[in-house]
Amino acid sequence: MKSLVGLYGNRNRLQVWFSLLVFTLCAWWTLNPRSFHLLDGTSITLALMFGALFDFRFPFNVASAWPEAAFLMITVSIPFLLHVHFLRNGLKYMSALNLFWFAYAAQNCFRLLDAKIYRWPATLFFVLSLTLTVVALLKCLQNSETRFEDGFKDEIDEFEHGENEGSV
Amino acid sequence: MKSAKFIQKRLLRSLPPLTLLMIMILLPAGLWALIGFGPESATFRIIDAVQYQQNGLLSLDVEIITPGPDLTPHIMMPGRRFNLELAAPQHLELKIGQKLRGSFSGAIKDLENGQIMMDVDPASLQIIEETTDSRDIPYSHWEPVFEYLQYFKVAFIVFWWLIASLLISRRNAED
Repeated sequence: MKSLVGLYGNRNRLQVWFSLLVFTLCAWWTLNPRSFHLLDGTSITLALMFGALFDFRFPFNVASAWPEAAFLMITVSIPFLLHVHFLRNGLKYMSALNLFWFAYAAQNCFRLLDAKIYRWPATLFFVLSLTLTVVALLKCLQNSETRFEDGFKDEIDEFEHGENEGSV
Repeated sequence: MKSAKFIQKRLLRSLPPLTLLMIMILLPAGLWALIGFGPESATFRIIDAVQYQQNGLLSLDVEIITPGPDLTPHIMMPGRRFNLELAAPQHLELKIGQKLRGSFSGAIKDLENGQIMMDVDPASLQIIEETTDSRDIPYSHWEPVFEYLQYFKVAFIVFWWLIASLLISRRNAED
């Protein structure tokens, strides 16, 4: 237990505060799933764009059958695409931050199932969403930058080496 | 004095386009916000229900059996489930498993989350069929907790803030 205290003490404070802020907002929205989530704006924009190709009627309209499933698929697929992108480019903190989007995707599944009164699947997705929010926070803390010197060790070595050579 | 007049002029000049913009945003928002419909004499089954002691309201989970004549067949589909909240009707005793007929009124909150708000007129309710396995509506176990729900939500967030602050704490500030 004592070893856990100060485990991430050397992390970049800006990233730590930012992840705490994002956690607070996302957790609040996950706990109030019927309110308007900030990412809903993105979902609506995307659904309107895809709406030109497929007939969605309107995003979040749970009144019709397959368009809502298609809309849900698109909403849920975005974090997966982003995750692949971030991991390929070695953006560890961003991929950890992206877990909040996974939580939002789970929240969308909860909303759909809750609106249709499928209580147990809805509850499972709610718990998943809440868990993902916490996991995202811890992952963000873990993957925050440690020190500038650690991140750019090779570059600094190269720079110092070059400087020494120049002086000789 | 001169600058104040200048600002006033600028404000007045920017007011009409701002108003126009607000009208363009707010008008369709108002139109989208609530799309109402009123299915009449639909039959449905109570699949689950709960009763609240504080306000005497019933929360019914219902499943549509026959939608009835309506302009919104894509909403009132057989098998679709809704949650209804209504004051307990005086003229009949509702039970879980009953088959009923009633007049609905609904609205889609499109701009918020597309949730369908369904209401049923308690006076229009009629019991069509009562099966042998139909049972009384129980009181909600969770009702005493509702009062503290907001505090639980805040406590959850504060708890993880504490955990995070423990994880990132520095023992000696110089390091």
